[in-house]
Amino acid sequence: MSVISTPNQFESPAKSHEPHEQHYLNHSKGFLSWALTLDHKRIGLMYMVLVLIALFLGGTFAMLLRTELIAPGPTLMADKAAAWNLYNHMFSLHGAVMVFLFIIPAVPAILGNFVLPMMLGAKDVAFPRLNLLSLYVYAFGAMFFLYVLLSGVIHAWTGTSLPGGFGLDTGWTFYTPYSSTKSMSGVIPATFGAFVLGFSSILTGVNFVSSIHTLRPKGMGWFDMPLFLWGLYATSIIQILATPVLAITLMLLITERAIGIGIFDPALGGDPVLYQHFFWFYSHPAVYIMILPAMGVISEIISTFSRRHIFGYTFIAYSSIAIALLGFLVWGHHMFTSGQSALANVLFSLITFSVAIPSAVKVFNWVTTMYKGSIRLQTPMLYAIGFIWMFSIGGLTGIFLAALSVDIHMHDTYFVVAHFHYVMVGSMLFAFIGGMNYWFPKMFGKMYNEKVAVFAAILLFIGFNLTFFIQFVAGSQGMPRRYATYPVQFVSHHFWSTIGAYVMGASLVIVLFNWVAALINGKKAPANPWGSNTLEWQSASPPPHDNFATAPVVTDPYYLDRWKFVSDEEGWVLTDEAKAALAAGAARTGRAH
Amino acid sequence: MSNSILAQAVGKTFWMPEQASTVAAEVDWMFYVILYVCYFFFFLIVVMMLGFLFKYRYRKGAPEHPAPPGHSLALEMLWTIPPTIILLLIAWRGFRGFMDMTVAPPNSYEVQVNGQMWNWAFMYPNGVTPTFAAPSPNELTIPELHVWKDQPIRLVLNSTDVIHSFYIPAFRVKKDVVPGRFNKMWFQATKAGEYPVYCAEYCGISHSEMRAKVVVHPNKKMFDDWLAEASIWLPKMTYQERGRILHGQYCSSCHSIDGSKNTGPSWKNLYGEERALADGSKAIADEEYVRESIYYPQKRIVAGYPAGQMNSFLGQLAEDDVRALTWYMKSISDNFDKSLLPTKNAAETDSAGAGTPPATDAPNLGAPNPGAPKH
Repeated sequence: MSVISTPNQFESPAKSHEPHEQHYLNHSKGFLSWALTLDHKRIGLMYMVLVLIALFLGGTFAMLLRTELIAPGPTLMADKAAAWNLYNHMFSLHGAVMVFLFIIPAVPAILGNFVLPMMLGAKDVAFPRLNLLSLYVYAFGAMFFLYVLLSGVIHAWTGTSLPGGFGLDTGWTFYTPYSSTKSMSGVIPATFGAFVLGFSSILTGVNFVSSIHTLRPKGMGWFDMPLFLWGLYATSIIQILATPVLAITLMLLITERAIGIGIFDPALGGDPVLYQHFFWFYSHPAVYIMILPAMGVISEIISTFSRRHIFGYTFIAYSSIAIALLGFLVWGHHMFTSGQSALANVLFSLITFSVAIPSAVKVFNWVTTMYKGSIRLQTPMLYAIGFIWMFSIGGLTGIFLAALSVDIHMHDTYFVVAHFHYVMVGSMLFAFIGGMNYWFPKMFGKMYNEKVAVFAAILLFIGFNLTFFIQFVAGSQGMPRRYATYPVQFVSHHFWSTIGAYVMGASLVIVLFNWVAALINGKKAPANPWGSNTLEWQSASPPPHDNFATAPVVTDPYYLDRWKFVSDEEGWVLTDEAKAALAAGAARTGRAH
Repeated sequence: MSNSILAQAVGKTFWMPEQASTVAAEVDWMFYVILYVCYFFFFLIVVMMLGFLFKYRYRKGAPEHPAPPGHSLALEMLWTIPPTIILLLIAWRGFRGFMDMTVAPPNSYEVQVNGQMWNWAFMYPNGVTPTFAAPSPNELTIPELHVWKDQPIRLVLNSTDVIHSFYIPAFRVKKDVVPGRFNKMWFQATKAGEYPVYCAEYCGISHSEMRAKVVVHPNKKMFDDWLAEASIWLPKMTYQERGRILHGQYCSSCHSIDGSKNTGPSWKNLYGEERALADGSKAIADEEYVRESIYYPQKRIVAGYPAGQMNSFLGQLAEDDVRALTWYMKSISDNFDKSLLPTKNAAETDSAGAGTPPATDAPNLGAPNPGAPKH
């Protein structure tokens, strides 16, 4: 399992004699040097471009559907049938694109790809070719969703339907028998796209698990790993074990819709609730695919910006694994009202409650890490604080939904919508943008404008809470989800929610522009701008093609006292004591656990 | 449980809608217990977080605190064990409440509920399924489930097409309506009045308009009077009037009567028209064409409309219902001489009796109740 660094014919050594240094971005030039690269950093960046496009599309759908809901009755279209139809397509595409193309790959495929090998002090992931393949499989799967979108647009304009149907109006869950018998939309292309994307997810998972098992450097035992790696490891286990079930389920659905074999359609002798079991057996663990790596990001940021060793390292590490394993046993809580047996309901309810414990353990450990710290409230830390706020609300509101008697009332209402947006958007999106801001200097060697970044973070926080908190109230009052219009009692809930969505949209645009501006004329970033002690910060910003000019020295990842702040230009450098210890070969003395 | 104490009817609050069933008080009690647990932990977390953020913020020249220990088993146990106990208690009480909502008392009155894109139909033990007209031509009908106060009602739910979900917020009950199986739910209303019913499982274009309402009569006598009336009122009307009501109940979600295109073709001027079909042939929309389209909708699809959208109403609408619908189509078609419309009701036509009130005097069950909230 050697680290492969293949100088292929497309990568010519740069001939430039300019004084600026060589790094992975200018290591080789030309389209093919990117398209055929095996460098995990470049693959991570290409993922970033594609995933951000998906975020833009999913966000646009969200803006459209919130605009339709700004007032009851048809808003975007003149007549009801057209308006409801447009709304149904928008919420379905929003969900499908955000889940399959954005949330699931965002942290592992972008940040994980870039950071994981460097945190291991390795030159690349264990299987660099597989890594490149996963990117292409992702792009191939995404093309099916583009086709679905295009077919919807073409149908809206010309009335002609492309093969496979137009748009998508089944919700991202593709519930049968609506999806298999009634929907005229592109169920087959969309589910096939999700099927393909699943393979991309599996390939990334396999790569991460094998990298963590085989590429850890000398001196880095399992419990010396940064917690981000624990998060990615737990995620990868779910990706490998759960995604095949989704693939099988979607193939069964395609089989039923295309050739009429009865599996889920009761008219053909099938059972529609069976589909829900299959679907959630994947899709509930998938929620943890989304949140576990995000939690890993937060562990890194909280420790770094508090200048404190992470509190309760082993508990945080084990809680990731506990969440990953328990997450496989809770899928039935999506079916409390479906008519499944009371015994099944009580078991799923109990196990669902058990997931709350490791989640709470993480939150308390993060907060305790800040105790007696020396906290610098820079942009990534601001997002981490926002994350704890959102995740607390998202996690605590899960208790209402796990309690059987209350869930019957809340099921399929806006309370559920608000709950999972607090976890999947509030928490995961905050961790993703926080992580991007944290590793941005490492990725591009440039610093972004701190003031603009702080402003955008605060605006995003306000916009998010405005959008979704009020949805808890609408839901507990009985507002069902996936409604294109609604009774007058919910007018103000929806109005403010839509205004909040616009604020969110605007702040995300600011975030993006701030990054683009930094790429164009950002200040040069120091090697270690935040004073973190994980291995990637021992390399230059941006790192050279092989990640490290000299082999990094493994110490406790949270032994932050090794670094002292010099200036904005130089960032954090090793203290004299740390240098002396290095020279004496005693770098590991700072271990705190 | 302690229903006798809790089951005081409570109005709408900031979080919860009006309580109008025996289980609502228990659900709300559980809700508020969890809410206060959440408030406690949320404020604990946020106050600690913001407190540390402020107190231990970095200041130039400020003395650094010596590092506290990096882990503490006692603390980990403190935030693992008490929350576990609290959660187990909530799980137990939530399960108890759920069982109360699930097991119907043996003396329950049973109503069959059928869900269909995008309508509800309620069949009473006497075999009657009352129909309701749409409040206006542009709105879907809002069918009514009539029950009476302080009586356990058991609903047996099934669906003709896709999954729906029968949700009565004021009663805090909900159950999916799944094709191919009979799901059951029950409730006991504690307050006379009208309560909205929503479809809570996405079921296609008009999901958000798949509404109904529960009408709770103050006593059994009033319910019985209503049911007796509802069981005989349809035959008292003219065919075209009865067709109008049936259209509101079964057809209006897809077929407009003002010429506008919907999931299916509009009925305005449809009767007697020559129709271009999807297979290129043509057909006159006469009685037989209408009958076939209602019973075997996939046989002849009109050009420009997708196949597979309409369910067969075979077994659901009697031939006489189809006749009534055809008369209604005639009444809104310029291809038909309106002076030929029947002026007497169907029962009259057969028995030639006397003293039947005109159609407009028939019990106007379909018209929206003036006091009912309009959605």
